[in-house]
Amino acid sequence: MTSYFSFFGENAGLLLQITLGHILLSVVAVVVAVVLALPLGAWIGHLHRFSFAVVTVTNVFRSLPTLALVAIAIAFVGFGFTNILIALVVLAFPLVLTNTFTAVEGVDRGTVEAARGMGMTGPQILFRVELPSSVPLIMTGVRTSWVYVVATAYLAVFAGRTDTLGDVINDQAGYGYAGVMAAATVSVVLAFLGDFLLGLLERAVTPTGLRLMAAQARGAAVPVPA
Amino acid sequence: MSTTTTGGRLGRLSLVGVAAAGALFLAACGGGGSSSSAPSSAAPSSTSSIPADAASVTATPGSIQLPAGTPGAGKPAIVIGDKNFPEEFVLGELYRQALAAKGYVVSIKSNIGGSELIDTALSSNQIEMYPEYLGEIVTSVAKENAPTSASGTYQAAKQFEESQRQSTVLLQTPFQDVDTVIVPNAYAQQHGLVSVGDLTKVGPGGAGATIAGPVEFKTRQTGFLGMQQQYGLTQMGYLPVQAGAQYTAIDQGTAQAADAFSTDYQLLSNKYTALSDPKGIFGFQYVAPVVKQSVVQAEGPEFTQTLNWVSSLLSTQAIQALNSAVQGHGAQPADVAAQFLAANGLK
Repeated sequence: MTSYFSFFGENAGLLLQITLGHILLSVVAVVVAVVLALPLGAWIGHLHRFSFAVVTVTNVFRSLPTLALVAIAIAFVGFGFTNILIALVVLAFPLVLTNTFTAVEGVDRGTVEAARGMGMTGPQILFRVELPSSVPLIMTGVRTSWVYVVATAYLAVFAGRTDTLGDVINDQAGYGYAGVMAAATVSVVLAFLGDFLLGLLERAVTPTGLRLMAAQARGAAVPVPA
Repeated sequence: MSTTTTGGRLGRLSLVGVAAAGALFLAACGGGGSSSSAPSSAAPSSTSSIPADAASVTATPGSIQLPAGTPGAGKPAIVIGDKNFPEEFVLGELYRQALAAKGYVVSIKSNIGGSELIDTALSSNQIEMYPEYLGEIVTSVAKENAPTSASGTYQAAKQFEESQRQSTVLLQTPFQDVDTVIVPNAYAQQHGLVSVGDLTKVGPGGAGATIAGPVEFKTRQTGFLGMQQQYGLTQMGYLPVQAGAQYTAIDQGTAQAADAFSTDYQLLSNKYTALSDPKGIFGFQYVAPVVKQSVVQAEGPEFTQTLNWVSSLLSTQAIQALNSAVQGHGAQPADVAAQFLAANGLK
């Protein structure tokens, strides 16, 4: 039986192919989830209404087992990329939605009133005050959803989609425990790597004022990132 | 689970299932086992006939009489086990109830586990008998290479049990539960498909055809890998699906072929053609009771005869009908087994 370490060398081509496929599927799923959840969450948070409905719906979404969704979706969209994509979007959507909604709703009321007093319209308040202030919490939701999606995308084989790490993870009989562990390791690395890159993105889009405030809150010893 | 009475819902369902099962096995008995039906309509044409080389070790339908009276009265008690899936539950109940009707004192430990686990249960004397797929004994328990014939598989399994487990295997069933490549009937007729190798007629190397199956089937020598190497199907596509969903895949047309088990009740629908496996790449998985040799001695010849009689009833159509009642209609394995044995003359 191939050992854990030699599996990487002996199956480099296969691992590269399924890793790229895994990244593609995960990125598309998170992007779709963000595109759907961000506007909805921001809108609801801005209105300060419908929070009960949002909490209920997201809790229902979160409780749906991904594998059951895959099986159900076979009847509606058949097998393949779309099937597993839907299941992963359902997984990621509530995380982004809840964080966006909570962040926007939680922006300091005094700040919002000040903006209104300066003559800002509703959309201006949302885009210039509420959303910029919400970046850290929204990005936390995106980062969490990335970790969840990467860790769940191996279920693609049950939706008839090959070219993900699931090809190896679900085939212990074919690749042995060494292969399963190797592919699972790649999955963990992908989760951390994506989380790290999204962290860089978060810093880039966080308003300077918020970063300074955060740094002050942590204490003067922490240098402010440029 | 053996003694539970079914509630209203399950009771009604079990009646439906058993009625279907009854109709089928009575039809099978009336036909006398002749394989006169057309290949395209016979459910798994590749597996419904008893292999010639293994005829002497098979419980041929109609060849074994049920012992009269209750020869088991006064004999030592025996514990049966069965493995962890519905077909094994039914097999365990069939053997248990037949022995009980003949006066033997039998109890059953159902749902024990996979091949290795139940073998451990036997060798540690927690059970004294269980129904097992003979290819599994050779490859999963003895860890030997799969023999290339049905008789070779039987002999290898028997030799292992006798030399390593102080046990033996009785006669094997007429049915086997083995991986089978199926295609829709219309597709088989369109391309003239009879055996797995005929899939090269669809396109060079099987190009243009996709087979649906569990993900591990793809990398198995006794699976898609073997199909590529032994039948030259190097250009065929592969669609990984969950067990059971392969039927959805070929019904929807996402795949043209599917990896099924030869005892799947879905094959009773006659919508699919089973392709034969002339090179035997999928192995041989006939079932036989594995019994401790000391038990065979202590219980007497009628004990063995009773078990062989049960095995002789189990044609491919019969086991498919039993699986249909349990897996397709939610009936209890014990109820299904009881009705099947009664319909075949067990008092």
